Amino acid sequence: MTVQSTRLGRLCSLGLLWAVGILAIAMALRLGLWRSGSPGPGLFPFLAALAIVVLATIGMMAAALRRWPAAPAETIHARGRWRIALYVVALIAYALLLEPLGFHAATTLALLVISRAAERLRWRTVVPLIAGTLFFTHLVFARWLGVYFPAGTLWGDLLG
Amino acid sequence: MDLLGFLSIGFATALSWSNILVCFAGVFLGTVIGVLPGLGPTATVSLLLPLTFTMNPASAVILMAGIYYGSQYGGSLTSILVRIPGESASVVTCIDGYEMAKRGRAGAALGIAAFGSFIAGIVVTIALFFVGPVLARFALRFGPPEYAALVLLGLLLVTQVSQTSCLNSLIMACLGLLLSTVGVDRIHGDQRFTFGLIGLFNGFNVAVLCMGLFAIAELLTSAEGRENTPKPVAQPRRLREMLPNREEWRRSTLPITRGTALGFLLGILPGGGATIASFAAYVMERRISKHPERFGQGAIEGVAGPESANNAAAQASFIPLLSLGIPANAVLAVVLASLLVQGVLPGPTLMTKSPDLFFGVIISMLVGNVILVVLNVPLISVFVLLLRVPISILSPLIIVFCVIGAYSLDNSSADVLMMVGLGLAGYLMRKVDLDPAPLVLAFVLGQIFETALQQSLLVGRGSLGVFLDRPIAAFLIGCSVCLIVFQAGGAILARARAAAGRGSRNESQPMRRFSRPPP
Repeated sequence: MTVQSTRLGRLCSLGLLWAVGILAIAMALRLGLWRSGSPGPGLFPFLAALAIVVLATIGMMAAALRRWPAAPAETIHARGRWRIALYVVALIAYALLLEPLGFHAATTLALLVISRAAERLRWRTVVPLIAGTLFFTHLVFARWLGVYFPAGTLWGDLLG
Repeated sequence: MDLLGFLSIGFATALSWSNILVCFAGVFLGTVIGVLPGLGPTATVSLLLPLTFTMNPASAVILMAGIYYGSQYGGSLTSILVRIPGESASVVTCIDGYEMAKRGRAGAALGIAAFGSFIAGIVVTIALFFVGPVLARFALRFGPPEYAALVLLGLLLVTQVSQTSCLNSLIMACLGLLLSTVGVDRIHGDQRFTFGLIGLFNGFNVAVLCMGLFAIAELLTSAEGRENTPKPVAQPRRLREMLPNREEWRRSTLPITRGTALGFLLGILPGGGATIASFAAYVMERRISKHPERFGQGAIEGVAGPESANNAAAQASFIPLLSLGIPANAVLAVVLASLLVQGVLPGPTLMTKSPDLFFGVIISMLVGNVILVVLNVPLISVFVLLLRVPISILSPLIIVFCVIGAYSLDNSSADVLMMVGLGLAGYLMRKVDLDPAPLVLAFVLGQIFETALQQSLLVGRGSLGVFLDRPIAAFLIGCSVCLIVFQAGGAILARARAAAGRGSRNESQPMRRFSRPPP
């Protein structure tokens, strides 16, 4: 059961896309559709956004005219909601802390939140998981493939 | 010099010990980087570019070619096992490959991907040798209007790939086109939809888009509904049981043949390539199948066709590069750069001036495909072991790999943040039944489409008549129009039939009139 299978869900999702299309049309018009005898930077985005608006309008009209069955309640466990919230928080924090803390500290923190708090793995699994991941990624990506890992700007500031 | 003379030069170059080793290194590295999401063949070939300056030109191209077609197979591994496309050409393999894995046939999907790629690779190499130079001359007739018309047709075909309604797919494809315009305009230099954010000046990276919309969104979806998820079906333990059975081979034979032919044709067109070929092959298989309802549910044809097509196209795309100097994609652009640095100018005369390079590279693809299948088929049982790792352990690892992949593209945490944002968007899209696959392909095709459209309008001085004046472009536009007419006509007919069916049921069973119709 998805949100789409209700009239409101369908109308809301298409309405959002319609609004994105309208906003993009306004911005594309400001960029200019034709400039000094050649296609302007706004022409292609204008055409794409116009197509979104037209198609979303058709979709909303069809959704409004269609008869919809009563939607059964979607079953999401409370633990599932909690887990997804932790995942989202961990991911955003991971992205934001990657450069200030450096790859190793940020990865340790993110893995700790995800594996211990979200997935509720035992410490005897969490510790080797984090250690193994750090070792493997360092060996394969940093040493062999020469990928640059941020060292952490915060440590330099703290240590002077 | 006759063809036999060229053949002997090609074999002498490709079968030298040094070039066999170089080919092995390329194919192995390609498979590894194909498996790792984010670190695609473009990044790897770019990293290795300085190394190739010390090699002779033939060895340099053999190494880069090996990485390119090796990554096509590597990308399919993660698509099938964990629904993360390592490469944009493997996006379509996720659809049925992952479903097969969920139903205990991961080995069969991996096997058919390996054998399909191998067969396609061998057939295309032989075909390239004989008809490549002739076909490359035909491809010269493709100008901007033909490209624009081809991409338009490709975009309309993309909507057939999706599991959701055609309308939803079209909206997502248009959204993909819109996203492809984010960043600084290449012709006028204007900022488009950047909102002043430096991270958006170069637009979205396709790897970031794929990892966000597919990998992160999949992880969030699985994190939410883990209590409702049924336990995965056990995979066979012995390699023999894992490999495709007779029935699966029977069903895959024609898709491999068709995928090879289609991939070859799309690969030799400048601007074509593995991504378009894989999507087109999937659409074609679904269109001509007697059981289209099987697609999306783990149809082996949905793996065999696209996997053969993407390998065929990856190899065939070396023809426009070597004979015309036109790279079909970013990887081949780096190969072109490597050749130019070494003083080799690809073009129609390369075949006669440097036969060791031209034919050596083609013959090395035979060697590379043999190495690829020998390397990968025995390892299928090892790859399938990945499915036995619980998702609660796999999820954090996938997140770390995705973060490394996104960060390594530009050494910027803005890409990581973008990936997370796209992951959330992908999760919400799933909630409202919107499929991200058409969005991703439209995004990939968007830049080619915009450039070709702009050039066509310049040639036609703003008139769309330029598309009808040229026979190939007019034919492709005609195909697009037919597709829209058939699609719309089919939908109207289906709705009319459904309404008529409801009417007759209601007449025969008047009590049902008060009950709600099925969705």
